[in-house]
Amino acid sequence: MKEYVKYIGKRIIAMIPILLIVSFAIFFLLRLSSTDEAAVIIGERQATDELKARVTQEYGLDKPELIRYFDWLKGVVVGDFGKDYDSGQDIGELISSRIPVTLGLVLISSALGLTFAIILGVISALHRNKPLDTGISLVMLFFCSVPSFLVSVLVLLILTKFIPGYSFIGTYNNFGEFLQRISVPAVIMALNQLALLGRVTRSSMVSQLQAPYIVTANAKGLTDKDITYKHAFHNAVIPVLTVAGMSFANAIGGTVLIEQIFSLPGIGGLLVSAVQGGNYPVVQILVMFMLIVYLIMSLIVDVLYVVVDPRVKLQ
Amino acid sequence: MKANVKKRKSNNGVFFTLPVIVSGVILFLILASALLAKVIAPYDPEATDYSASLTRAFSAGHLLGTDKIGRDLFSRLLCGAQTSIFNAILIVAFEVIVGVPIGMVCGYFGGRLDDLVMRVWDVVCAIPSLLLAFVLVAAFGKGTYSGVIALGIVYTPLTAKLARSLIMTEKSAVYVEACKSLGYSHARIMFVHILPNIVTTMIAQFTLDIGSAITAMATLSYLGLGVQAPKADWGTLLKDGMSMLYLNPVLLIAPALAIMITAIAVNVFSDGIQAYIDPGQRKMPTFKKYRKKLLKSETLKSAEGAA
Amino acid sequence: MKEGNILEIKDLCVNLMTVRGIIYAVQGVNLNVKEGEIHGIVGESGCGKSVSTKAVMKLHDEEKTEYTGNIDFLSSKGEVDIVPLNKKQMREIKGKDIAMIFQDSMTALNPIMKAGEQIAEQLRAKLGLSKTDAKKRALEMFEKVGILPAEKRYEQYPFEMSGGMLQRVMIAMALSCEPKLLIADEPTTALDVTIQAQILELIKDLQRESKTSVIFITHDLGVIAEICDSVSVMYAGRVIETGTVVEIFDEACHPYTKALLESNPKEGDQGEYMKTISGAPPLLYEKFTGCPYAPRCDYATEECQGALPETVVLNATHSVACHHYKRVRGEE
Repeated sequence: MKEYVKYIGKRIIAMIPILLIVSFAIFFLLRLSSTDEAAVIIGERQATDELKARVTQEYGLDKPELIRYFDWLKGVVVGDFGKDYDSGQDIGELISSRIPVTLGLVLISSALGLTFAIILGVISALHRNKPLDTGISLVMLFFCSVPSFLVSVLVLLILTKFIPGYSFIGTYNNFGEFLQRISVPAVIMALNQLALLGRVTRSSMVSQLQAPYIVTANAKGLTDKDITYKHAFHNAVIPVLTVAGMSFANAIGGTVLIEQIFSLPGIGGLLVSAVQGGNYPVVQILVMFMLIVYLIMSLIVDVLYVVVDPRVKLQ
Repeated sequence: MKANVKKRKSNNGVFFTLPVIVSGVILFLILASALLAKVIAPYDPEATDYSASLTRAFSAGHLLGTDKIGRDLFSRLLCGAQTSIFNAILIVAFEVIVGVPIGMVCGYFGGRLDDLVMRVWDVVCAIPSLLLAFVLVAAFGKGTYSGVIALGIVYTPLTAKLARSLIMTEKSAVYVEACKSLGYSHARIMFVHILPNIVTTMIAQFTLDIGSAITAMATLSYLGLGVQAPKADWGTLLKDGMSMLYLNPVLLIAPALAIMITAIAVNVFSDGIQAYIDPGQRKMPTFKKYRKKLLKSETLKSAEGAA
Repeated sequence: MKEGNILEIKDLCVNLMTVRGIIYAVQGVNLNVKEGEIHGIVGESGCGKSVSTKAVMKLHDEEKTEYTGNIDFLSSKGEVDIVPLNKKQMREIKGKDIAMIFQDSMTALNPIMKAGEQIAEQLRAKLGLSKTDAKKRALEMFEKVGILPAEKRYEQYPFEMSGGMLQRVMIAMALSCEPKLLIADEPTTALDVTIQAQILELIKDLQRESKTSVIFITHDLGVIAEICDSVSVMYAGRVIETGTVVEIFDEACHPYTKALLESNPKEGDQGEYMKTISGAPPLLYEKFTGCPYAPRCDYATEECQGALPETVVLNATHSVACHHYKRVRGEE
């Protein structure tokens, strides 16, 4: 147990340089573009020279880029995320109310997707080339190739046609409504993850069931149940975990779209409008936030990896 | 005996299975109609006609109806296909031209260069791909070409990693040793000898990538970050359709189906290539079916003999 | 079944379904194994030695395999024919009455399960031992086959052990339930020569101690001479000659056996080319109507092309399947 804590600590420390490099890269990438930041801040107000000078002064736009980056970094470290160019609101406040939706979508869909992917993948592999397998494989092929935002669009279309009274989009007031709002999009995202991971589970399970050690287990006279679950399944899960990390990354990107489509008050809509409008402080913070979520999820995957595969050592 | 050997061979790697044929035909039709879009399209896709706004589908003159400002959806869908597919090909071309050589050189020579590039890739891959695309589009400014370049950059590390891992397994093969002992140059070994051995696996991946590039670009366009009006690709059509969700759902369904069918067909086709490369995934005939087939071919042969 | 035999294989045919069509891997094998003997099976790659012995345990994928003929086995519950048995009945025999050692112990053991646990698991499943008893017995087995220190090795995973050690684990596993018949499928092929000798010695010692019957598959005639009591020579899915080690090595009656023996380098063979058998064994995509060895045989006549040679019993232990065995022996 102690070594796990040590490992996790080490990994968290190792995240710091990645976060620094990425934040640095993003900061300068965004400044590469020709967008006039002062104009973005001024927005629809009358762009007088005086206002422009005030804005430039207030947001420190005239300072060299490198100094601006370190100012920004200093702020982030002490919890001051800067101001939204659109509303002048504090970004920390702006996003904190939007985090539950995004995090809820990512976590619920990943958990659902991984669980059902493993169950269905194994069932499919055990019924290899039988009708049940063909059926499951076809469904998985569908959800794997059709991006979840398309599925959402179609589901939305169907839901509004057939259950007109059901409110599944827009803001929420209490926890019950929160669950109601995110249930449909979470399931859609889960289906996408399920398809990808389920296909990996199936093919991994199929190849493990053909491995030589399965013949040995069979020669030992073990029951099919033991051979399938104690031997093949344990080995088959390992590659699934590797892909799970990737699938979580997709989910984090995917929530941006899904929130947009279902008009959910998550950070996705914010990110899209910030990218469109050149609202760079918001883009920076949101991307960093999603990156941290992703890094933590991939850390969890890596720890699971060590638990499942004795050949991988903590280092 | 000789005839027998031949028969076995044709029974061995069957490439043209039913799913491959069906998906291949669909892809061919989509490609052909995209290429000939300007010829087939009954209207100018950008011509507005306010008198015919929001025509229902299957009405006279407009096969799939028209949008809010009276543009013919069928024509727009065809030209959108052209844009979507062309952009996807550009994206994949970018990843191939940039990613494959980097991956091959890294995998072949290894060492410090490899370490450095892989370290950079690891950081790039640490960012979820759609997010990276957003940031890049934000940096380049929204528009078709920044979208294409952004997605190209997103796909490049993955392609490079694939090429690298493939070349690393090939590198230790005996024929490479043989080439080295013959004193061939590294470039010759890499591109003349190793490349043909890994190209099939990569092609399977690139087919898949074209499919996902179409949907990724559609995603950017849907969010208003990719193709800009009045030009249309499937993503912008989808976006326009979304706003007409209640008035004329065909505007939404048609581009959605177009993306869906293309994506599925690409996946099925790529699955077919993969199954052809990897015999372990091939479906095994049963004894009963095999005997039936044998019997059939034998009766055929004897019928031929009788004739 | 004859008195003193533990296994009698009669006219066994095994057809395997592959992507290329049906392979008639075993085409009428007859084989008897006596109680307490080590019976060698020798032959080139692809001659059906592994397939026919795996059939004894029905290890082939049932959906892709057809068996015909009889495999009579004297199990702990009496005489049974293995061919018609279902999965559940087979499970009673596998691991407990018949055990198997595989060629490549690196892949034949579960890579992510502790070596000791792989044995304990079998003991629990087959003998119904408790967890602690199973571990105790597994540790005993480790000591018996020379995996020391047993306690430490018990906790190790296959990737932490050498090939020789892993083969010892396989042997310990196979013998842990005191089987009546042990099938060793080329157990030494993947090992280097010194380890090979150790493993052979170990198998021989354990066999002497436990009186287990052993079927030993190899393509190495030296190994046969060293540890076997009797030998069957296989070619193209059939047993072409059976006899005691002395009979096979000194009075070989089949041209293939003879050629095989001659191609084995001997002491004092300096300065000569090694003798080889020209050509390659036939593919088994069809059933043979003539002698499968005829295309490579020096003695072949038209008769060989036309008719499959019957097995001729020469004496109680020696039999051969050749039209011209008398000429081979130099009697004609």
